[in-house]
Amino acid sequence: MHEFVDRLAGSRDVLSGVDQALEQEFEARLVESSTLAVRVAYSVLRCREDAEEVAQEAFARAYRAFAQLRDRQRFRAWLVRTTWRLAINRWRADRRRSARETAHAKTRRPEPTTEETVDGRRRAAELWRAIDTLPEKLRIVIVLASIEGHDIAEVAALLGLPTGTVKSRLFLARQRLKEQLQWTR
Amino acid sequence: MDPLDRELASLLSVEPSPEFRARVRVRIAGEPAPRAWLARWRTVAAGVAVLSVAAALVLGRSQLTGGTRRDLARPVSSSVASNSVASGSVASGFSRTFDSPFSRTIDSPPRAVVAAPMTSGQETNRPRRQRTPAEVLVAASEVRGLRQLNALVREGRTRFVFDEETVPQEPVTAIIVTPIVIEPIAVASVSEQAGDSEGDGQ
Repeated sequence: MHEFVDRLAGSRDVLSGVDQALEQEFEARLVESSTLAVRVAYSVLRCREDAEEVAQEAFARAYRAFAQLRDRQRFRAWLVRTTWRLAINRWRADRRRSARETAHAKTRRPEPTTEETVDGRRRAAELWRAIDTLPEKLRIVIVLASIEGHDIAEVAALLGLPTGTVKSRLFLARQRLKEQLQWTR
Repeated sequence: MDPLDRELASLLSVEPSPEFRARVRVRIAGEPAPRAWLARWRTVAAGVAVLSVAAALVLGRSQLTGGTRRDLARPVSSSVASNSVASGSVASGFSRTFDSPFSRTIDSPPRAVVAAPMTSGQETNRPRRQRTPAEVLVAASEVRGLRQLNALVREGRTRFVFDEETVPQEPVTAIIVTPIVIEPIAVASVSEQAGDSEGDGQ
């Protein structure tokens, strides 16, 4: 009987050890991927507070399913897709984006540099409008390619798409943006 | 660097606030901790479910094919015999007149030909998934005879003569009904009958 109890206690220790390892791994993922999640959400919502809320929700969901997401690449891909979907859902639920855009224009860059001018702000507004006209599948590709210097292979891995597909979508997205933006020519 | 890429990178260069991670930690503190064994158990449960469904499918299919084999192994003669009523009706209808409903179906391939007797060797060569054999309505020999007869009639080598033509018909005559004559019944008088009875008593 004592032997059984000891064995049970030992298995509990092993299980709690495994769970602690999971917690530590999740903490590491949170530290390295929080910027990615916030930026993905921000590319849709244009508001840092909203983006952080969405990213927080995505991390909470990732935590619940973390036993299946222990692989680093898998975790990041899952996080990107979940954050994007949550952000799109939130954006669709609240269409008053133009009002928020002006309200949170200051929060986008709390410390404006000396190089930032009125012309720069106008460019940014034009670019956001041009990005809005892109279809979702092109938008996510160009956003991810612009975040953290992801190359085509990394974007393909994050989206679970073939490299050739990502390449062609990135080309199309750039082409459409350049068609709309005079200053890129 | 392309001006477009530079502008895009600049637009998306937002950093999470310092308290972001703390808020996430607070949020997940209320969540149940992720458990590795739970994921394993889910995987095992899913595997068991898939296996049980596959086993049920295999068992069901094997029972189905077993039943089909039993049906095929049954001798065809019995199925023909079971349909003797249908055969009889065909035969009787044909003796009456050739232009029976069955004369139209003779040109099409008869069902008895479809359900030809099958040997056990043929059965094993067939694929496992086999449909139920077609029901035999007319015996193969009868169909063969009917087809030959049909061919003979079409070629003009045989002519059908109806029974009504062979029997000489008598002309219809008027029915003569002879009148029925009823004779009156003779009844004796009552006094004579009484006298007779008294004399007998003395």
